[in-house]
Amino acid sequence: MRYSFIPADEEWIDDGPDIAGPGWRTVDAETLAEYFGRQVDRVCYEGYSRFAFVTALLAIAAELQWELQYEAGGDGVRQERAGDERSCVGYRVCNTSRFAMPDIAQSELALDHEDHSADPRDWIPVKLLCDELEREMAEKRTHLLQKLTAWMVSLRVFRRVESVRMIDSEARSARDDEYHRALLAFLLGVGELILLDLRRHEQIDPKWIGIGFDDVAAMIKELRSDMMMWHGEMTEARKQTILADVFGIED
Amino acid sequence: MSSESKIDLLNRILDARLAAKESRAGDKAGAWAEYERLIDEALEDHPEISGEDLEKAMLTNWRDYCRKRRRYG
Repeated sequence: MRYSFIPADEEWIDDGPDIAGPGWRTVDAETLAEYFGRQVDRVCYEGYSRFAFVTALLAIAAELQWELQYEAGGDGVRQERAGDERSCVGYRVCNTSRFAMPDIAQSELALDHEDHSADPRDWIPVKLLCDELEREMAEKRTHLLQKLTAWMVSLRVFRRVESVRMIDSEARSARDDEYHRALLAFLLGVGELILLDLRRHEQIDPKWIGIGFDDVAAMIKELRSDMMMWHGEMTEARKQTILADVFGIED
Repeated sequence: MSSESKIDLLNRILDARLAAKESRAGDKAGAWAEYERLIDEALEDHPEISGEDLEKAMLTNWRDYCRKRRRYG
């Protein structure tokens, strides 16, 4: 197996050939496993909850899949390394500067799923994150700011999948609409509950995790607006009337 | 308001929504407030139309708008 997932600034990594310029390294599966092992140790040592750990892993898995899809879209840089039978694909994608991915079969990914195999950029990672979030909410013992953080991570992953499947994709399906509506409704509902809790517990201020109460409230408003925008109903005639009245637009 | 001003206002509203959508979590409140302010401005002379209805009508083509903005900046 061959892939890279290593930030170049990790000192413990042995020197390896760059596959896509500075900052990119190629490692074998054993090294990759060691890297993940160290991340697990670090997370456990720092005392994060199982949920935080699972959340982080799922986010990583989701990103892996997006990286793979970038390869399918032709944005990757394929380089055959001379004298080496392995071929690798390097990426520089958006704000993600820590991955270098080679060919890897979808079936080798931890989140592989029979429905999911058809298109790796799908809703499964978001669904898994939401399942974890739901469990945490049901147990009612997690610190409020931890819930808020988990919700924001789930929302972030949701937004990324939404961007790919609902906006960028040329082949948006009914399944996309169904997942989008269900997960959006879930995240909106959980967000509303968290907002209520934040309002009730004045001593718990989300500023400690870098955002204000008003920012959380605005995120909820945006979700509500999104639900109405993507899944609300309005007749074409009503829409034309409003656009003509307010903006003078005649179809 | 002239027809050009109305179209300009529509474009500013759409831009404001995209800016709010893409803003960092810590800047969300300010960005969303600007979007709501523009919605209110558009509805000043149309009390019979709700903000939700205006949003729904405006954002029907949100997907195309986002794609164009990404393509052309």
